[in-house]
Amino acid sequence: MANNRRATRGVMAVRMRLVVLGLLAVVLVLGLSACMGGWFTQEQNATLIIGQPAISGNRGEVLISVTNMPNQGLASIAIKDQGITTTNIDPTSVKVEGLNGFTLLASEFVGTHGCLAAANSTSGSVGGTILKISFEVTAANPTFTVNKLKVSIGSALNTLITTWDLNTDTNYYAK
Amino acid sequence: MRIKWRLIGGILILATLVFGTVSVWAANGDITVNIQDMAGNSLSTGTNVKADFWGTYWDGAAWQWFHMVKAANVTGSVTWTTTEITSATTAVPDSVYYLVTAWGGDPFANSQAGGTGGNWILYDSSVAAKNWNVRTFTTSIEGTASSSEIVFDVDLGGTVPNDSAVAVNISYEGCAHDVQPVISATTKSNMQADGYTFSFASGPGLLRIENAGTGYDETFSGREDGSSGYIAELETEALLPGVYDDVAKEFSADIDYHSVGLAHGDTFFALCYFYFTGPEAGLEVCTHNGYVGHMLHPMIVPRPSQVWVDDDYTSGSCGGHVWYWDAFDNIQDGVDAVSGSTVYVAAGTYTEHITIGKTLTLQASSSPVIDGGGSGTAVTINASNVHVTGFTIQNADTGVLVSTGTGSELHFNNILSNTTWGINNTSGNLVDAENNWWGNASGPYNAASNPAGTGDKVSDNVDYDPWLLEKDGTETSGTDTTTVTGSGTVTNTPTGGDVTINGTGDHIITTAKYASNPGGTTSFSASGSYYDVHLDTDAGVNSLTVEFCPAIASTIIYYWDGTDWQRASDQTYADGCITVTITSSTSPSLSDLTGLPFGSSEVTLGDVNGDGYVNVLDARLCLQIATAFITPTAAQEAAADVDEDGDVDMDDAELLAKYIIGMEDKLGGE
Repeated sequence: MANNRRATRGVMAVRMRLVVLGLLAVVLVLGLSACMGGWFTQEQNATLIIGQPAISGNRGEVLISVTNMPNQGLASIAIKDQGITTTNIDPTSVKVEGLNGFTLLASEFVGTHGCLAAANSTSGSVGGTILKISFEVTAANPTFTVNKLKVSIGSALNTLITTWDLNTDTNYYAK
Repeated sequence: MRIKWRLIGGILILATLVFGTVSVWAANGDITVNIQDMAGNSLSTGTNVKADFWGTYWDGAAWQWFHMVKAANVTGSVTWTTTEITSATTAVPDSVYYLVTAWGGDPFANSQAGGTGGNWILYDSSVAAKNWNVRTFTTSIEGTASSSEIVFDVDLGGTVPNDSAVAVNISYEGCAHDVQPVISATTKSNMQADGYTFSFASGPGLLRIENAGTGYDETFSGREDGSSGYIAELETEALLPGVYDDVAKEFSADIDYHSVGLAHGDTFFALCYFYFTGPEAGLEVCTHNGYVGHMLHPMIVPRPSQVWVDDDYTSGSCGGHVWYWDAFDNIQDGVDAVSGSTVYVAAGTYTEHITIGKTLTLQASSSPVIDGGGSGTAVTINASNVHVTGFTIQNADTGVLVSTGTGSELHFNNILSNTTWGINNTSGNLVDAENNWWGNASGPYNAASNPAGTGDKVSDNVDYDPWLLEKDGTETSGTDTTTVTGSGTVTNTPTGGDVTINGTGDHIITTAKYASNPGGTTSFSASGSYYDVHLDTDAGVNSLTVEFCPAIASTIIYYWDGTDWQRASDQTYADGCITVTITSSTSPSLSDLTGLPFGSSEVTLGDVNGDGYVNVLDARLCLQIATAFITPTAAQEAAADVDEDGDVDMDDAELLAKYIIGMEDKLGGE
């Protein structure tokens, strides 16, 4: 009887070890997949990401990024009709810089609004940063938001990208 | 030492300077020459004159040329032109030919052209370098006589012995045959002036002196066989083909002077003769009145590159041209005479059967008719690159027969009422016969390609499409051909507006409206209006402005460059018309205006991709054009040039971007 109980405990112990090992394996696989880029993809749809202002001293910076852009990627963007709204930044200090092949064609920031247009003449960005907007902060907690209805984006195939999401909550993370 | 010359003469006032037919000579002394026209009129104040000088003197070792001539009593726009030939390698204009001799040699003992020193040599640009040991110096003056006496001073540049000679060729305004000046007096020490009648048994050839004796009836004859006794023959036979059997008819009656002009058919040339005592005394061939001929200055004027034909021309009235050199009363003679360029034909009915055996352009100056007289072939083309433009070719068995050659073109002609063929091309090569009127708006008849056509019949290998829907010259929406002298404006052309030329000389402007797209597939949304603007030549033209009407501000004018439609570079909108300015530096340029189709289209500035919207896609396309990442179509380029400055650059991309995002409320130049 005692032997039976000991045997039963032994089997259960082995099973427990197997379960633990299995869990560890799952964790390991998940960890490896994360390290290989399977994790942290914030967007599944084509998404235009207006990053959160990163503040350093009295300087702030917003990155505009894209993910999952179709048709060989986003190649042009226009935020028109004062489609950008800001708070607590000095509009005269705003500087827009094209990244990763994008050329700023026009921008204007007046008061609490702004607009811009940029394009990449040679290729598109499926994912990645495309613009950096830097500015001076005039008060705590500056904001930088974009009205999606005022945004037009085009692909590297010179077609309009009509289905896309606007994300203003998160920054883009490179895989 | 200076020799003073006085030339007094009467000259007919006509339109164009021609090479003169008078030479006088003298040595070591003054000479006075009265020049009169055939009516005996003396030189009038205000007469335009041009004088060419050349002469030689014997410096004891060799014959040298005079250095300088200047003139008094010539005012106005006096132009001096001096040419010096110092060696065989000196460039000589293609249109200038000289026969020169190595002075000091015996010109008559060396009958062949192209020889070395001592021979007579044809100097033209095609002759390889010879052992030139002559020095040629010519001087010209051109201006207006301020009195009835013109004084020419000749600076010989050194001591001039008696053995000198000077030729003065005077050019007149008028037809060559009209100029028969009389040398009323010559004063010199030891010179002889005389004149001769020339005849050519067969050409080409130059002169052989016969009957060198007294009187004025000496006869020169020449032939091309180079046999003994001939002074020279021409190397370039093409220069002087044909038989000059009409020379006497034109000139013999009054040739009593040193120079004659010979003109018939293929060429015109003037000859100048000088007889004087010289160190080579003893030459037998040219003895006359005890003087020894030594110097012969044939000045050979090559065939004209342009000739004018008018059935109203006569020997006494040829529009300021030279009768039977560059002016004719029938087309065939003009075709025969011209050297590779253009035969302009004025209005009239020319009942001829014309054969064109050389590359040329037969250009209507107004609306001439070539009438086959009810039979035969009105125009036969036996050469390549023959262009026939602006004629009515009618009433023949075959209007145009193209039997040989490539690259021939016929445009803006009325080819009608020819019983068998409008155009029969047997050459086997394609003939471009677009934009002709065939007698019916249905076009020419061709059993295979246009069986519904009821116009004159065309053979295969004739590109007749598009054709004109209206008879040339009968409708303003059809074709207009106008000759403009200097600067002027042709109003109400088929382009819907005016065509203004800024230039000098006569120019023929042809404008037409195409019935259909004459070029390739358009890259723009064409409005369906296509035009042609044709300029006979860009020589002497500073600019041409063409109005295309009606138009709106966004209308863009394109031109067909033979491969694609291109946007005309310099165009502006005003008052319902687009005005395209064309110069030597625009696109198209003046030299392109040889049958250049234009097309008009309305584009929306900024709509670079032509999808009807101006948005971010257009901004990128504009950027791509501005950065030369893509090559735009003409329409794209026109739409992308949003600042309308004629090109697409970053200014356009930025302006377009600003417009798209609302920073600018309009596109276009200020």
